[in-house]
This record gives sequence, C-alpha cells and structure tokens, in this order.
Amino acid sequence: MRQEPHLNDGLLVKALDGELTGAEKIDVEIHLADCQECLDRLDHWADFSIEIARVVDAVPTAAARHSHERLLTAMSDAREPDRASEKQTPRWRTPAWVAALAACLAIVTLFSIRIARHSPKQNGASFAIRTDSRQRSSPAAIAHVRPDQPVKRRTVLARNNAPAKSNSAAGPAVDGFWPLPYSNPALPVDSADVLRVRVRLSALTEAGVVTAAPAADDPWVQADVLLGADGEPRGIRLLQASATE
Amino acid sequence: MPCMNASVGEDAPPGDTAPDRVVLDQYHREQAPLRRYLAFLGINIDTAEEIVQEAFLRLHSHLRGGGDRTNLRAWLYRVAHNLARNEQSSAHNRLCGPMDDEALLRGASIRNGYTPESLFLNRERDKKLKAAIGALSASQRECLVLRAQGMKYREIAAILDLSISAVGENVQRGLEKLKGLL
Ligand SMILES: [Zn+2]
Repeated sequence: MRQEPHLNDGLLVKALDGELTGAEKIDVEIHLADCQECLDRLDHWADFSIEIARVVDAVPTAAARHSHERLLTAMSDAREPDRASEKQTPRWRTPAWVAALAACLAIVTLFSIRIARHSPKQNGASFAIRTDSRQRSSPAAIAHVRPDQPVKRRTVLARNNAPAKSNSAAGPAVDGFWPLPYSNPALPVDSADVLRVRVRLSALTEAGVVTAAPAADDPWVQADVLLGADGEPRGIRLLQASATE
Repeated sequence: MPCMNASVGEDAPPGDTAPDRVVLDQYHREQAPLRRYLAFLGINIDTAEEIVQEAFLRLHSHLRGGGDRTNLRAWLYRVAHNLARNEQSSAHNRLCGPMDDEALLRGASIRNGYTPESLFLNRERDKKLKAAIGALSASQRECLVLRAQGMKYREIAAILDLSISAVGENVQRGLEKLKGLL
C-alpha cells in the first residue's frame, strides 16, 4: 500500500490524453505501477471521456443537399476561372434574388452619387469601354455606344438561361461583359444572372468602365450587370441606347 | 454522401489538382466533425453549412497559394471557429440555443444500435450529459468537444488561441463540472 499522496485528477486526465511532460510521465508511471486506486480513477476518467465523445459523436451532421457538389464546383471555378463560364450546373443558389437586387441597387446608388459630383459635360459624347486597371497591358477592347437617346428609367431583372459569362482577368471580355474595376476576377462567376440597369455615362466614366469625353447632358445609358454567385456585380455590358427601349 | 472522386481536376495541370484533392480528403474526413463542433457552439444548421463551405474554400485558397500544410485539420477548425464567432457576433446570426434533444437522440440511436431498454437509459444519460455540456463555460465546452473529437491540447490551443496550459485547465475543470452535474 502506498503512503504518498495519490495522483490528482489533472494529472490523470493529462495522462489519459497523452499530454504529460517528461517528468510528469515518469512520476505517473511509477505511481500507477503500484496504485490500484489511481488506476481505477484513470479508468473512470477514460470511461467518462468515451461517454462524452459518444454524445458529441451522436450529434447529427446532415449536410445540405448538393453541399459536396457545391464545394467541387467552387474549387473547380477557382482553379480555372475562365472555364467556369462554360458550365451550366445550377449551384450557389443560396444568394437570394433579394441579395442580387440589393447588390445592383447598390451599384446604381453608387453611380448616382458619383453623378451628383460630376462636372461639365458636352453633348453628343461617344465613349468606349475599357478594361480595368489590372488589365492595362492587354489590348483595350472598344465598344462604341451611341448615348444619343435617353434611356427609359426602368430596371429589368432578367435571368439568362444561357451559359454564364465570365469576367476573367486573364482574358478578354466574354459576350460583351467587362470586369468592373472593383470586382475580384479570381472569384467564380457561376451565375447567369444579369440585371439591366440605367446609369449615367459620367458614372461609368468615373468608375473607370468607359473612356468618354465629358458630355454636357450626361446621358443615361442602359447596361447589363453580370452578377457573381455571391450576388456581387462582376462585369458590365453596355447596350446600345436605341436598342433598349 | 456523393462520390468523393467526382472528376476533380481531371484535365487540369497535375500540380494544380493537388489542392483540390487535399481539400476533398479533408472534406471527407472533417466536414461531419466540423458540423458537430459548430452545433456545440450553438450554430444553426444553415449557418453551419455556409461556414463549412467557406472554411473549405478558404482551405483551397490557402493551399493554392502555397500555404503551410502542417496540421490542416486544426487550420480548418480554427477558420470555422472564427467564422462561427463572427456569425455569432453579428446582429443577424444569434445563437440558436442548445441543440435539440430529439435530433441528438436520433443520431445516438442510429449510431449505436442499442436495445430499447438500454437505449432508453442511455437516452436519459445522454440527455443529461448533453445538457451538462451546454452548461459549461464556452471555453470549457469548446475544449471538451474538440478533445472528444480527438484533438491534442496543442491543436485545441491553436484553434482557440489559448495556451496549452489553459486548454489543460479547461479540460480538467470541464470534466469535473460535468461529473458534478450528472
Ligand atoms: Zn494512487
């Protein structure tokens, strides 16, 4: 029968968890070799730990439907952002239309605020879309637009069932969409959601989306905004003003 | 569970597929325990789903960026833990309260194949134990749940941003408190 104090519970639990330091380990091993009482207490903590693990392990862990596919898709798109545009798999349905709409309203608001600050304009301006600052080395694509007709003040929410278009930073615009300067081209665009908005030309100029000489009347132009999976705007495509009515 | 080998990076450059495979490996092993851990943090199922997705996507990004591969499990839990904390501190994602007992019991009965009698006794015991776990301090609960999932103290310390000795103390006090509550 041992005379020295028994091991405290802290040491026993650490022993159980394999967390003893070198000196502690030696002391505990020597003590346990000769003390049934401490061995029993060690067993007790072991049983109790198993019981806790069983309760933890019993918690249901049902993943959402398509959870795994969603991860696969997102990884695939992250790896090959260009090719993400060619896929049609329905995914990332989580962002609700409310979020998408809110995002686009935010753009319009942003543009509107910029409009208010805009100064002198000229009549009959024509402008060209340009790539964002990250793509200055690539040839700037030109898409002339005639902003000579006012655009009806109307926002149309449209869902495009065609394959989604990417605003990859690595390549040119797809289907007329060009990256918004503040969007992250590395993020996947796996949604074909497009929101039609009406914005002032000056707002697009200030945002760096187009190059245009200032116009006195600062015409309204219509544009399609490409929404990413997260509802954030990724690209923009200007439309012929005459074709939008 | 869908097939885990579903054409991951089949035609991508070889060096580019490795992160995908590592992530899927981790997903296969850790997504369920991760959801359990989040449940014990009081995160509801929908939010947990988002956190799990985000954590694995961040892992993917981490790996693609050449990030450190030492103990990715702890890395994942740390990210998920922080995301959960952010969710809980936001106005729109409050704690949903303790996990519901019925869900717990469904999981327990499926897993363990008890006889009706032992199942009843174990259900009562499990209920009490689960309630007792819920009564622990957040740190004690987190430490004990991670320990129950096989984490070493240094891993728990890394996940929770605690010292190893603090983890030991939380484990010990948590166990003693549980014992006293049962
Ligand atoms: Zn002893």
